[in-house]
Amino acid sequence: MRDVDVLPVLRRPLAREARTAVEAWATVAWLLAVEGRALVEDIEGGVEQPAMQHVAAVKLLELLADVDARLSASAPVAEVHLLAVALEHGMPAVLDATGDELVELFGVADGLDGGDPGPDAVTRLFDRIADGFPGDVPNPLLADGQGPVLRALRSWGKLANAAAIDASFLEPFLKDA
Amino acid sequence: MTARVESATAFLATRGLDLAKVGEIVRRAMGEVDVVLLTSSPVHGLANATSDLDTVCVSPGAAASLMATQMFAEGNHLEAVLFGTDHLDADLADLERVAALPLPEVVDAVRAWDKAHTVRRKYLERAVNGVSVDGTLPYADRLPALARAWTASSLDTAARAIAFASLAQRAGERRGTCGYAHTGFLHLADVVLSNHGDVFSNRKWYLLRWQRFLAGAGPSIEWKPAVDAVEQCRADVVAALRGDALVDVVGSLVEALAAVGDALDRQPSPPRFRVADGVQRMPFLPGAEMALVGSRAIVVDGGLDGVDVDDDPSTFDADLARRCLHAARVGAVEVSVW
Repeated sequence: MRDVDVLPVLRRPLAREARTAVEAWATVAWLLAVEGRALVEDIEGGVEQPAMQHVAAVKLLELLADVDARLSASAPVAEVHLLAVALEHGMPAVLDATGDELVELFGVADGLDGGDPGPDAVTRLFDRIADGFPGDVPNPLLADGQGPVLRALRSWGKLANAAAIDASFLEPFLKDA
Repeated sequence: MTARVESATAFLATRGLDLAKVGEIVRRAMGEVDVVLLTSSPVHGLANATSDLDTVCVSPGAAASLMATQMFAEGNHLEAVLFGTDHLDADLADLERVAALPLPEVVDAVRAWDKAHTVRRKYLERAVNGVSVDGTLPYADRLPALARAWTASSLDTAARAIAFASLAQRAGERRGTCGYAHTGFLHLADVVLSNHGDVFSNRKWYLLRWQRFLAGAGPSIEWKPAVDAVEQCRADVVAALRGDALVDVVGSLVEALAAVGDALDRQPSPPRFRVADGVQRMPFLPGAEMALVGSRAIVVDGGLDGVDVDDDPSTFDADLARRCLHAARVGAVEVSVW
């Protein structure tokens, strides 16, 4: 399996309307920090639970499909469509991989068949995406990770004010913080 | 139900804790709350080395937590949310009301639950399955209602995923069909599990719980054909994902859905696709239209004519299936399975 390119979207010099850009980038950072890191923790903790690792890997694939839509200036599809859209059309803003490569990378067939879902490859891939993301993506799962999370939320609130947009998109983040 | 307490106790021992100690840690952070419930994977016998200790606290007159409180104690990560006794009791009573409705109405009520209730679905399930730090399960008498509500919800998700799998197959989407099939299988498995009283919201556990169910006591006689059909689906989804062109994964899903419907004595209806309420269809160029969906817009090559039909999607021609699927993914077309 080749080493797929991560976050190709960052190399395209596309300026977006500030109103949509603030919400999209803050939401993506939040999804990676909170939901992505939690799924990676699940995968790492499930050494003796490959069936759980498999579904967590599929959920991570769906999360990245959601992120892909937001980084492509689009609304994500509903949850029931995420996996199908990712496997059929790929996720060109996040990963330079075909649907068949995604099936292999995320162990979609092997994991469902009771085999090795390839957890190390999945967590390595997520680390490359988090490392390649602009800035330090906070880690709320660490004991000292809460401060950076709250600082990020404050920064995004100020950003929303500066861009003259409604900051209510941050409210669900607070509930899940 | 003692199995829940035993699972929780055994897991806590691996972390150098017991139920009483969890109660102390949580009350130190949350104050003198009436009830502290240990919830999630430890009470289902599924916790592992990195599992957090999620708790739900209940106390008279308490306002519901806006945010979960995070605690770190003796190398463990604990989380607590607080609900007022009155709020939780009222929402559990409403769960009983909802569970007694006809199945399609249960689906609608569960879908709309979070907007109309203080205790969100996720925490409702945690409370019902929760083990109190005094070693009891104070809300376990609500498990049958919870099981019926969660069964209905997963059946709805499975039926919709299977309808989209059929559409994707007609549209010529080999991998898209597999994606919907994977979702359809997992939710069919959860229908069986929830109906048997093994109710746990988080999808990451569905497959492991399914394996545990098959390896354990297994189904009752009336559920055996449905369980066999769902397990056959899993094998067929794997084969389809590996590119086996001969496997009829949609046929396998439809058969399993019907078998599950038989066991429940309530079949979903054949899927019907409709242009969603409020969608504005505008001409774009000859042969294409733009659909305005709220504040969003999509271009549909070929337009949306013909998607409002009651036909089974397996009879759609490839072009109609493609247009219908494209519009459904962006919210311009809805599917009904009841």
